Amino acid sequence: MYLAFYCLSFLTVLFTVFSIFQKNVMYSLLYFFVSVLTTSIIFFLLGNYLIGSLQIIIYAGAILVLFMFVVMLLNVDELENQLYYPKYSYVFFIFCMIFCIFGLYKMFFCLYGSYVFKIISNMHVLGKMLFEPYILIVEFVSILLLSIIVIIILISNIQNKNILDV
Amino acid sequence: MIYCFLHIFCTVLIIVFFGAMLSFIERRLLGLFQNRYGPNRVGWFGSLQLIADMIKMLFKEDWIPTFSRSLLFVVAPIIAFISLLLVMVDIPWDNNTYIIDLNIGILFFLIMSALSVYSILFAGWSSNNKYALLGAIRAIAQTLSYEVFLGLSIMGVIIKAHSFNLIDIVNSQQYIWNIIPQFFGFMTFLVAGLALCHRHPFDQPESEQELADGYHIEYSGMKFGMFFIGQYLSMMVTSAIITIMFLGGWFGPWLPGYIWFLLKNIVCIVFFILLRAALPRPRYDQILYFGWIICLPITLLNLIFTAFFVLLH
Repeated sequence: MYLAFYCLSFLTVLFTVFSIFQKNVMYSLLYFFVSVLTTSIIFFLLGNYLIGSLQIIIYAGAILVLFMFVVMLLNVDELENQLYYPKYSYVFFIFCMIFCIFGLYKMFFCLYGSYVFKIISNMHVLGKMLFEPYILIVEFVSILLLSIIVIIILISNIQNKNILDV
Repeated sequence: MIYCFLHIFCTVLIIVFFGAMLSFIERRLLGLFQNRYGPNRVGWFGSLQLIADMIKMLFKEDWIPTFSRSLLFVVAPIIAFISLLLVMVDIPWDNNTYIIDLNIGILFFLIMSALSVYSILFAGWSSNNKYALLGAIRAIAQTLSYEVFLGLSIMGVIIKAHSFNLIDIVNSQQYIWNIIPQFFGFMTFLVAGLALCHRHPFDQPESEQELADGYHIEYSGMKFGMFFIGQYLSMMVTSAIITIMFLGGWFGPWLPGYIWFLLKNIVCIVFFILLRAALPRPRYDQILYFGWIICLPITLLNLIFTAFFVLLH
């Protein structure tokens, strides 16, 4: 279990770094998709099945698909990632190495003996936490989402008067 | 251990075989509905048509286009085939007949349906072909819109059952099937399930007249076969989920449970085929309009009223 957790966390960091330094936009999104999958597997390992499932359903199933959809729609294959310059690649490599060394140090020395797997959370606890102490934040977020929807409808109506004439 | 392995292996084999047979059954039934003969030359009343199709697919040249992104091109049919086949593992046929009893049950179906979008995305993008890209863009927009209330329409059932577990959901329907109190949820889930399978009337990706077969235009041989069988597998999975969620699973008089389950499944599948035979294909913007403007409010109202009545009790 511990070995699986460490391997998966290492893979998550690795694929996220790949997605940052990837030349092609589509491939960088794919690396990010794999890192989302490994993150959700970590949640499953920690015994938090609901959050792990929601991670895949929301991130991999909706948000990332939307990103890829927009990339395909605008055909930005030629648009290269601005972070990618071949002459600076060894600088990025050194940065990644330092990052990995710190991560490994943190994992093998600071987390040694501490308790990684602690199964407390379930849906009941999550609902109680969301709607008792944090109710104000949830309400603000919902108002924000509602205002975003109204703004989008207004913008699309300004641009296209006949949007509802099907 | 050996028995367990054999049990799983036989189940998967039966499911894949029936998914392949469904192609023949569907053509036969379409012929029946549209007052013509289906395939009736190979074998007894055309029953060996499947083998003829398999021979044709296996002997075709299975080439990967030189202009394509080869890795994603190969991965796409694998995802299409496996993602919804895995959901069959989760589905209980009876109170005691299941492969695995997951406590996230229905969420597993939602996970796999979310991942099945990627097969279309990879296929359309890696083919490097404008028709494939157009088909994939249409398919993704449609699937994204309809996945929103694919999840929301089930939530009313989950609120009633107090559980994600499929066995608990079926046992909560002991006195009344969910299709009666959750009728609007059932309707929207049926529509969303059809959109998930990419069947008529939601087969935007494959609209042959406009897009020349959409996202599997560059596929041939066994890769095309995997897409083809994957569609039928998704149809079986969707009908099984509808049976469990809304039609009371294995509950029914006189007969044993798994036979009731199979019968309800077959009724759902035949209904899908009947829809394909009867309906024309709507225009692309009409499909998106229907999803967002009509189905989504219905599901949200259904969810709110269900929660209200559960709170009253």
